[in-house]
Parts: sequence; structure tokens; C-alpha cells
Amino acid sequence: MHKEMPLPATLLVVDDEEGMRTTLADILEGQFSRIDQAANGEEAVRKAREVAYDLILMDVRMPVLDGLQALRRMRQEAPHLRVVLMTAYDDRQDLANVREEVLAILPKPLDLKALLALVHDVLDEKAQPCAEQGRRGVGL
Amino acid sequence: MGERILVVDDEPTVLMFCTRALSRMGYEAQGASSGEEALALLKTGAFDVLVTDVAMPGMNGIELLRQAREILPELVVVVITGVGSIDLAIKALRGGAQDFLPKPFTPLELKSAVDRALAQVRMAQERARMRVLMPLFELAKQRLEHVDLYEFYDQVLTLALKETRADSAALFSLGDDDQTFTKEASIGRELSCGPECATLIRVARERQEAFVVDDRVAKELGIHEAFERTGVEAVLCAPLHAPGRYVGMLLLTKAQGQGAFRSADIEILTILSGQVAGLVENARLVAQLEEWNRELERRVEERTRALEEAQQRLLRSERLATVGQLGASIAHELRNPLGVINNSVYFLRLRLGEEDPKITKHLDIIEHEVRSANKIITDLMNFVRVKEVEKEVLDPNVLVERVLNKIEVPENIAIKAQLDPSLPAAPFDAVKMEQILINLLNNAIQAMPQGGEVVISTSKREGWICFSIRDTGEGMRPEDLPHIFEPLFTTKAKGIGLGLSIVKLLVDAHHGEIEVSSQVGQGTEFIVKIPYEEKDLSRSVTVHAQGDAPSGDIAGSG
Repeated sequence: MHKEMPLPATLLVVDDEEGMRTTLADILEGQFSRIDQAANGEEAVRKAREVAYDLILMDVRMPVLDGLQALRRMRQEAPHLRVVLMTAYDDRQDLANVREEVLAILPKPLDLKALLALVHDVLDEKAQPCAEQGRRGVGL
Repeated sequence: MGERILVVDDEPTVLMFCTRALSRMGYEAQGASSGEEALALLKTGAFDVLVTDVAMPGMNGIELLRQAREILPELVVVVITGVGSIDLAIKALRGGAQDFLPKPFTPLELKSAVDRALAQVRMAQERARMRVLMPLFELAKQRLEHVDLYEFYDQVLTLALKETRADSAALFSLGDDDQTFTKEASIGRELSCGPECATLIRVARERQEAFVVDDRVAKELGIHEAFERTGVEAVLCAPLHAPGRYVGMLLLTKAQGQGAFRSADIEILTILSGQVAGLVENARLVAQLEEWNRELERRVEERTRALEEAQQRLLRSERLATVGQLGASIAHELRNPLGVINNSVYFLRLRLGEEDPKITKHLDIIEHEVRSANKIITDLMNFVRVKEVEKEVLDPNVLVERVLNKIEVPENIAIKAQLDPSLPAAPFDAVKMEQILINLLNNAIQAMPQGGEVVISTSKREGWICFSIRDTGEGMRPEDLPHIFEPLFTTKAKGIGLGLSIVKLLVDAHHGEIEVSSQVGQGTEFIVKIPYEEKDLSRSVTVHAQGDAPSGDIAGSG
């Protein structure tokens, strides 16, 4: 439903795999008016400082600065940032610690339908600004 | 001790004179009025000296001497000769008499004749003692190095037999418990460790010195029936006392008609027993020490074996862990590109899916292959995660049926299930057990590329629930069998050799055992044994009663 007329919404895709970034960006291009990419946590933190993204889709294991460290830094500057983490290691203990801080933790290989449902929820929420702010744990 | 002297004379006055005189002098003297009576006495009593008249009605002194010598070859004989019987006296001396005493004689003359004769006896005994002691001395020297104990016992018994003219000799040792005893060695007649023997061993312990058991004593001890039954005339026993302990007994027997034991015999056996006692005790202590050593060695061996096994297990699991980690990290690295491919397919389907059915078909193919690649990766990663066993009470047969529903069986292979309906439900980790059975069934199927039959059966054996998977496939070579559970070991062209090592790991996690038997060209059988306890069963019975176990229906149908 968002395909034809993307809302003025912004997305940052963070993954050290270019293929992953590109495919995700292409799949989601109809949903967002702007999609940026970052290849590691540091780049992501820098970009998030410049643009107030509506959603950040971020891999956990990355060089330079990993997803969890990047998440911590972003939170200091923008506490209400919506972040979805992606990881192939779904039983990591430090992931459990941030479960409450993020919208979702999606296991890899990604279930793209679930991802899209999540994205739709975020965009619906943005379209209805009266909805409560601190909503979490959508979809999964 | 007072020597025993037998006086024989047909004249009562002479007989009385002699016995009285000798008794007064401290000897133990007994009289007989004829040669026949004397022989009878010699057969039963232990006499050292025979003093006999030569000229007697009936059996004369010469004949008595001859026959007495047969019974007691070392008997000292003094003949009493009358005036007219010097020729007989000479005959007697030729026949082996030690001395002669012409009539009439004074008590002093009698004494000096007996003393002279006894001096000869003592000399003979001394010689016997030397004969006994010399070999013992030789043996004692050997003992310092290494002596064959039983050879020593045999030599001692042979000596005793020879010196005492007994018909059998035996050595008994008392066990550590001070109750049981063992016949260590024997020669001559077969002596059993019966109750009579036990009685003698008890008496020997009490007496603390060598003693003779003749017919009279045997009656007192209640063992005369055995004497009669076995034809024993007398027994000579010597206790074996080592410092601080009664260790056993030496025993000699004489058959009926062999005569009695003499004081010299007692002395010889006493000497021998003194020599043997120490050795018997040493032997017992050495045996005890050896037993302790053996026990210690056994324990060390056992412990070593356990350690080696543990080390092997550790190596195996370490190797598997290494392999698993490597496999998992490779698998993991493959996940990302597969994920990207998956994303691309998704994107392409969004854009092109409707345009051309062939494109849709190929997108389906790519998606399907990506999914099966992901499945392999997931399986591999699950293998590596050796978690705690999560047990639930299950009917083993239900487990087998579930597995049979899951596996894919080629058309040329028949799978038969022979399930024992009386099996109890027991605690299993269902996921791991299924994995075990699936791996073994796949293994069996892969062993039969030309087709064949797999029989999966369940049974119960003394504390174990057994699953057997038997195929009619290629079989395995005997030299491969010890390695089949090692990670990365494989005889197949396909596969990385993890299947059976994972089976072993999972069986270990159940504290179970796995057995394999195989013959090339005949087939292979794996038996997985999972232990169960009675308490498990009673629990499963409760579960049955509540009807909330998956085993309920099967138990009912059995």
C-alpha cells in the first residue's frame, strides 16, 4: 500500500555486506522516500547524527564498530531512535540485554515478510502521530 | 624324656626284677612274657629299647629281634643270655642287637647295658637330626635368594617320611581368618581336610608341641572311626608356631601294622616344624603382600584405563568440537551470501514475477535451493550445540514410529519395524534420540545403493532399552570398525564423516552405549542401548495412568 506513494520517511541500512545493503535497500525502496547505507557502526553513528532516520536496520556483527556499540552511541544522542537489529547469532547473551531497547531483533537468514510487516508498522505509526510514543516490540 | 624300654623274658622273676630296676632308674619300662606278646606291644607303643631274653619257648629272642626290626628298624636291642646260650648271643649280635647281657646280672650291669644301648640310640638320633638339618640348612641358604616354597615343603615332608618311616606326611596352613586351613603339600596317602583334620589342627594349637595320636587318643578325640576307615594306626602332629602366630600343622601317619611313633620321631618332627613354621608364615605374608600388590596393580590398571578412556573421550570431543566449530563458522559464513541471494530473489520476484512463468519457475528453483542449503547449515550448527539432555518420558516405540515417518526411503529399500510392545516408557531426549535413529537409518540406507532391507527393532535387556538397526548392505571392514565413531572418519564418497560421531556423542549424552557388528557383504547392525531404572518405570507407569504421555496409545495397543 506504501509502494506507489512513499511517505516522506527515511531509512538507514547498516551492514558490512554490500550485497545485503543493496538488496535490502532495493526491496524497501518503495516504502521510504530516502534510504541511506552504512558499511559499519561508525559510519552509521555519523550518518544518524546528520539525519533523523525514522528507522535504522542494522547488522550486529560488523568491523570497526559493531551494531551494539553503535546502538549505544546513537541512543546517547537520540534516545527515541527506532532500531531493528539483524543477526545470525540469535543466542548471544549481550543481545538479550538490548532486547528492550530495540524494536526487534531479526534472525538471519532474514524472513523478509516479517521485516516488511515491521516496516509497515513503523510507517503506520508515523502516519498517525497521535499514537503513543514508546511503542515497542512490534511484530515479533 | 624317659626312654621307653620293653623287657621280654619268660621267667616272671627276671621280668619283674628288670622292669622294677629300670623304672627306679627313671626309665619307662614295660614287660612282656613272650616274643609274641612283645611284638604286639611293639606294634602299638613307641619303644626305644628292647631288652629280651634269647632263649624263650615259642618265639625266641633271635626271631623277636628279626621281626621287631621290621617294625622299628632303629629299635635298640639288648639281648639277655644264659650260660648255655652264648652262641645265641653271637647270633643276636649278628642279627643286629646292639649289646648283650649275660645272666646273672646286677641292676647296675643292666643299667650300664641299657645306657650303652641308649647312647647308640642317641647317636643314631643325632645322625638322623644331622641328616634332617643338613638339607634344611641348604634350603635355608636358598631361601635367602628365591626358594620354591612347594618344593621346599615337599623336601621337608620327604625327609620326615624317611626319618620316621611314616606312610604319609602333610603340611597344613591356617588361613588369614585363623579358621580355614589348606593342605599345602602332602606325600603318601591322600589326606583330606575333613573334620578329623580340623580336630587335630585345633588340638595342635592347644598343645603347642608335637604329640602322638594312637588309637586310645583317637577315641578320646572322637576321630578313631576315621582311623579305622582309612587304616591308620597312629598320627604324629606337630604345630607350626611362628612368632606371634599359630600358622599350621605338620602331620605324619602310620598305617596299621607299621608300628608306633618313637620319641625320636617326635623330636625329628619338632625340629622340622620349627624350620617350616617361619617359612609358612612368611609364605602367608608374602601371599598377602602379593594379593595386596595385585589389588593395587588392578586398581592402578583400572584407574589408568579409565583415565585413558576419559582422555580418548576428551580427544574425541575436542576434535569434534574443533571440527564442529570449523564447520559452524564455515556454515555461518555461507549464511550471509545465501541471505543476499534470498533477498535478490525476493526483489526479482517483486519486479518480474508476473511477467514470465519461466522466470517464476527459476526464481522458485533458486529459492528452493537456498532453502535446502540453509537447512544443511542449520543441521550442522545444531550438531555442534551439545546442550544438556532434556528428558521426557516417552514410549521408545513411538519414537521409532515418529522417525520412520520423517525419513525418506528409496524405493529399492524396505524398512521393517519389529517393536517389542511390552517396552516401558522411559526418559529420553526426544530430539536427540530421533537424531540418533535418523542418522543410523540414513547410514543403513546409504550402505545399500543396490537396495535391500533395514530392520529396526526395539527390545529390553536387563536395565537397558535397546534399539537395533540392521541392514543387508555392504558391511564394514574389521579394520574400519574401531574408527567409525571418530569425527571426520568416513568410508563413503559423499558426506563429511560426522553422522556416526554425532550418534556416539548423543548416545553418550544419554549415558548409553552403542555396539556395532558388521560383516563385509553381509550387512551391519548397530545397537543403541539406553539405560533406564526401575524408578523411571514407576514414574512412567504413573504417567500412563494420567494418560498425558505420548506413550499411552501404544501401551494400550500392545
